[in-house]
Order: sequence, then structure tokens, then C-alpha cells
Amino acid sequence: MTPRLRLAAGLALALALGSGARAEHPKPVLVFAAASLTESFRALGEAFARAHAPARAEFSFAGSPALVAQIESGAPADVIATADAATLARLEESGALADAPAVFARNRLEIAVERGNPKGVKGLADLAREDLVVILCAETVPAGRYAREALKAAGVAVEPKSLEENVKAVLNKVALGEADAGIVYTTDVRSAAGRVAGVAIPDAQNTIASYPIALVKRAGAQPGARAFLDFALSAQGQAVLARFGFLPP
Amino acid sequence: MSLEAEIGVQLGRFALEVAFRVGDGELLALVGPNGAGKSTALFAVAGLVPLARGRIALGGAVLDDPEAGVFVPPEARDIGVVFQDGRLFPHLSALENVAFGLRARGVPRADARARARGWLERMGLAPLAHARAATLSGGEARKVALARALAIEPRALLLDEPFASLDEDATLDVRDALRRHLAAFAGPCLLVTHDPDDTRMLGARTLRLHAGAACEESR
Amino acid sequence: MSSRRATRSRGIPLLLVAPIAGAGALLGVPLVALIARAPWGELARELSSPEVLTALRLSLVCSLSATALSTLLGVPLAWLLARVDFPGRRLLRALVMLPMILPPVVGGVALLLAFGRRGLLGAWLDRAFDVQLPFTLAGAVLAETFVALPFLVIAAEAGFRQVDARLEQAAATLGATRLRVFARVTLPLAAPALAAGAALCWARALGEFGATITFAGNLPGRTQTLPLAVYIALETHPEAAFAMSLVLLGVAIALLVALRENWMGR
Repeated sequence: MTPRLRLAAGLALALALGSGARAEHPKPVLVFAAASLTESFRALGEAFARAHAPARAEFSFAGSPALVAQIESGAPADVIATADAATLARLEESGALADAPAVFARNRLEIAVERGNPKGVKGLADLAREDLVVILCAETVPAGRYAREALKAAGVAVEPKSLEENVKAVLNKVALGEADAGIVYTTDVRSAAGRVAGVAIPDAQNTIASYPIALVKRAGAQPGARAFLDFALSAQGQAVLARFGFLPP
Repeated sequence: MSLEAEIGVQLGRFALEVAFRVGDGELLALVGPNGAGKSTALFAVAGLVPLARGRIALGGAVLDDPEAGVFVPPEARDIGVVFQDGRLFPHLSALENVAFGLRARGVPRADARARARGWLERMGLAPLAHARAATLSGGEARKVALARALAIEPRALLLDEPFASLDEDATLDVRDALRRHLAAFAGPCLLVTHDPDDTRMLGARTLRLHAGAACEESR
Repeated sequence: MSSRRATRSRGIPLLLVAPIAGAGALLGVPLVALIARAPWGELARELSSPEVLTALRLSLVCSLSATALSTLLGVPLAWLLARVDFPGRRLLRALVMLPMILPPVVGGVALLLAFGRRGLLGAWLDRAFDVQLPFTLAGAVLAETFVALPFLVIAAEAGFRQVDARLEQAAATLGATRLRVFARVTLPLAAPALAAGAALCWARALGEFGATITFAGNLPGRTQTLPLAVYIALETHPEAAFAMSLVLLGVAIALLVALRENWMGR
């Protein structure tokens, strides 16, 4: 065989093998999830893969409005989970969802501060202190809206030094020591595993976040997608979420 | 004020060894074929090429003496140079070019421009005072370059192939201007040329160079 | 007649038509799409909203400051690279070019580690002078300078190099000190190249995103420059994002037109 013919034959074989392999392993379910679900959904994915092999899930984490914008532009997500209903409503209104969303978890806010709380932050009122560098999420992000609601309820006026695009960015800047305090979710503080310290916000001032999850309407529906969504709502899935600090829906 | 030069220069594989003395009001012409080292010798006197060996002194003051560790940079030597390619500053007018050296010496602007204008008039180039240097013809540019070097009233004058790439008319014109002004110049004058006609016209003592060394001297 | 035939140009080779068309499409279609999809009807309203005007004003202030700082720091550096032969010159030039190749967000991370509150230099600035750079306008200017400085230095070095050193020699023989030679001969002759470099530097600073959002943060009125505003707006208010993108595209086109002699040749 001439070298060129050999190359062509090799390519054909690889293609055949590849497509054959794909028939046995289904395409992974693409799940778009809010940044605050990063650690918990990764664990959920592992549990899902164990329980529903050979189906498996892949994740893309970002601020909720960014995910919705990507789907509006045609991103091939199968499932979407956001940190508030208002953001997901955009997709509902444009008919991009296959079904009505279901709330699968709830979350509470917490103040993240540097390890050891060197500036002695005790509550929301302290965030108005002039000597503190406080950062929040942008108002377009659910965590940002919730934080502002909580601050308003507590009657505290804060001048944030930056408005981050997702809640992990706030967490990381506090962990790096660039900011003294930021408002994130309790699950974020917990998942930070000691990189930050948390200051609790009493229930009276706190905002409860409701996380909805929904199937995205796609041509060529993914059977695994519904399985993942059901898994998130199942007892097993809820147990995983609870481990990370989420409240039941 | 005389120029005393014992020049030893090493440029890559080329070695130059030549010595000469030029007295006040005297004109010495360095002649020889291309590559003989004439321009290199001139540049050494100007301070643009440092000596490897030897000694250059003007009016008793040492300008370059590697053994003694003395090197006076070109801007401090007070020696006027007319380059082979004119080297007028293209972004300045003829007037500004001639005034450049005076301004560098701290002469106030109006004063410098007045003196520059005088020099241009002496060259017969007064109408071109505000012409951009880049627009001047070969002969005009060469005369402006001469005026520029003379305007600073230097202690010595160096001319590197002043008639290079000039047509016949321009050459005669420039040669005429040169003869007049050299006659009036009080200090030592060094001229580099490969055309023996130049030396006869200007009445110069001649030192012939070949492959980096002097071979004959004549009047 | 036969001589006329021989000198007539032969046109584009057939083999090159496909890649040339592909390149044209890749570059042209996005620009056409931006112009076509822009909200022309509401353009005036979108662009006069306070958020957009704030971001625009801030972008101009930051990018012009970054350009000024780049010029101040870059011109001497460029002169050094062009005129002085010293050991490590090539290394220095490579260092100067690094921000051009580094992903901007990596640049932002590096700036945080250097000038952040816990940074190598930043911690000292915080302790000794109570100066913090992250989350400030100065921080945004620093981020933009970091990415845009190389553009100025590269252009300026080329500009200085093409100034005939023999003119500088002539100036020296006339008694000009090195400083005067630079100010009166080198700089004026290199000025067109420097101007082009400064324009390029400004454009890069104006468009900087990754380093700015990482190091300086995102606060309307203080650090939210136009590219950051576009990014945030894209998620919730795309019309505003398209309108602002159009402004940035307009600036880019205006710049190209202004510098056409430098790049577009014949």
C-alpha cells in the first residue's frame, strides 16, 4: 500500500471505531449551573454517574445571567439550574424550556471574611465601616440582588468597592485578601474549606434564595437530561446537596 | 592653535596608523583611494571614532589619549565638521540648520537666527533661509552644511569629501565658496578628498594615504 | 501590442481564492453583523443612558492616562533598546513584549500578586503609604498600561532606529549634548512613528478587559470601563451591549483611518 493509501485507511478505521464507541457511551448531559452550585453539583454528577451508568453529566458553572444569555445565543445545554427564579423566567418567557421549572434547593446568605476575621466583622451593620473593603455581586446576579435585599432589610448602607460577576469571584477576592468582606451563600463559605471565615446573618435579616432547575427545549431530546433532573430532586440527590449546606426546597 | 594627530585606529580587520600636524590657518588634504582610511582619520579627530593608540591634541589641549585615559566627546571638542553627505537635519529649515550649533551653545534664539542669516547671506543663499533642508539641491545643501559648521566659529574645521556627488556646476560653486571661507578661517583645516584637483584649487599641503598608512607628503 | 500583454498583471491564482474568501468572511462577517444587528433606532437613547455615559467617560480617562503613562515610561525604554548596546538587551526586549503574548487575565492575576493588598509590592504600599491599587481607577490605569505599554515601546524603538544615526553624529559635532540631540533631532524625526505607537497603545488600553476586571474589579464610575460594561450588559441588556460595542468599533475604525499611511501603504 502506498503511504497515502495507508493514511486514508487508518483514518477510516479510526472514524469507524470512534463512532462505534460513541454508540456504546451516550453523550454526556450538559448541565449549566449557577456558580454557587460548583462543588455540590460536581458531587451530584459523580453520584449520578454511579447510579445511572453509562449516563453521565458535564457541567458549566457561571453567574446565572451569563448562563441564560448563553442559552439564548444557542448554547447546547440540556439542563439549567439558576440561583433565582427571576433569571430563569427569561427562558420561560421565550419558550426555551421544555417544562416548568422546579425548585430543588434553597440557600442562605453569609458574610465571608478573611481567615481568623482580623477586622472583627460581627454582622451586616459592620459592612458600612469605612475601613473595610467590601465587595458584592453585581445587581444582575442573583446573589447581588439577595445581598442588597438583606442590607436593605437591615438598614445598612454599603459602598462596595467592586461588583463581581459571580459569587465565586467575590469569595476568591476575600480569600486572596484583596477584600475584607463579601456577601456570599453559606454553601460557598462551607465549600471554601477554611480559606475564608464566615459571619452568620441572622434569619430576620437574611434572604432565602430559591434555586430552580429546568430542562432546556432541544431538538433531539437527551434522555439522560430528565434522568439528571429527577436525580437532583430525588432523596439521594437531596442528600448530596444537604451535605454541602443547601436547605431542602 | 595647531592640530597634532598621532592616529592609531582598529576597525575590525582594518588598521590605520597615520600622524600629521596642521598649523593655524593651514589646510592639509588627506588624499588616497577609497578604503585608505582618510575619512576614518577625520572622524577620529572629530571624536566620532575613538583611538586605540596615539594622541590627538588641539592647541595643546588633549582630545584623545587612550594611554592617559583621556577622551573628550565630540560635543565638547569645538570642531566644525562638514560631512560627505551634508547631513543637514531634514526636519529643519536652512536657517534652523545653520543656527543649530549656536543654539546648542546657549546663544539666544533671536541672536542665533540673526547670525545664521548672516552666514547664509555670505553663501548667497539668503532667499533659501526658510526652505526645508530636504528640498535643497546638492550644491545648496553642501553650502548650508559649510555655513552650519563655520557658524559655531570652531577652533578647527574638518571637511570629508565636500564635493562628493555634486555635479560639475555645483562643484565649482561649492569649491569657490570653500576657497573664500577657508581663506578667512583662522584655525587648522583638514580636508579629505580622492580628487587631486581639489587640493590644487585650494592650495593645500597633501598627505597621501594608502591602506591605512601614509605614503607620501607633498605641497 | 505584445509588450502590453506581457506587462498586464495576472490576477489572483485560483488556488488562493478559497483561503482569501475564508479570511475575508472571518474578518468581515462579524463586523457586518455588529453593524447590522445594532439597535440603530434606539442608539441615541442607549448611548445617552447614565450607565453608558459613565462607562464611556471612565474609559476615556483611563485609556488616555494609560497612554500618557506608557509614553512616559516607554519612550526612554525604547531609546535605550534602540541606541545603547548593553548585555541583556534582547532579554529586556523580550520582557517588554511579554504582556503582548500573555493572556490578559493572566496579566491581571500577576498584577494582583504584585500590587494587590498581599502582593509583593502592594503589601508594602499598603503598610507604608496606605495606598491600595486594586478596586481603584489608578488600578485600572495600571492594568491598562501593563497590556498597552509594549505596543508603544515596539513602535517607538522602530521609530528611533530609523532615525539616521549619522544625523545624531552631526549634531554632536555641532556641540549638542546627548539630551539636546534626543530632543531636537531624534525625537522630532521619530515623532510620526511615536504617534502611531501611541495611537495603537491607546486603542489597546481602551479595549482592555481581562486584566482590568481581575485586578481593578468592576465598579460603575470607578473601574467599570466600556468593555466591562459590555460584558455585564450582555447578560441582561444586550441592546446596550450592542450599542456600546458599536462605539468601540467606531473608535477602532476611526483609528485605522487616521493611521492609514502607516499600515495601508499603497
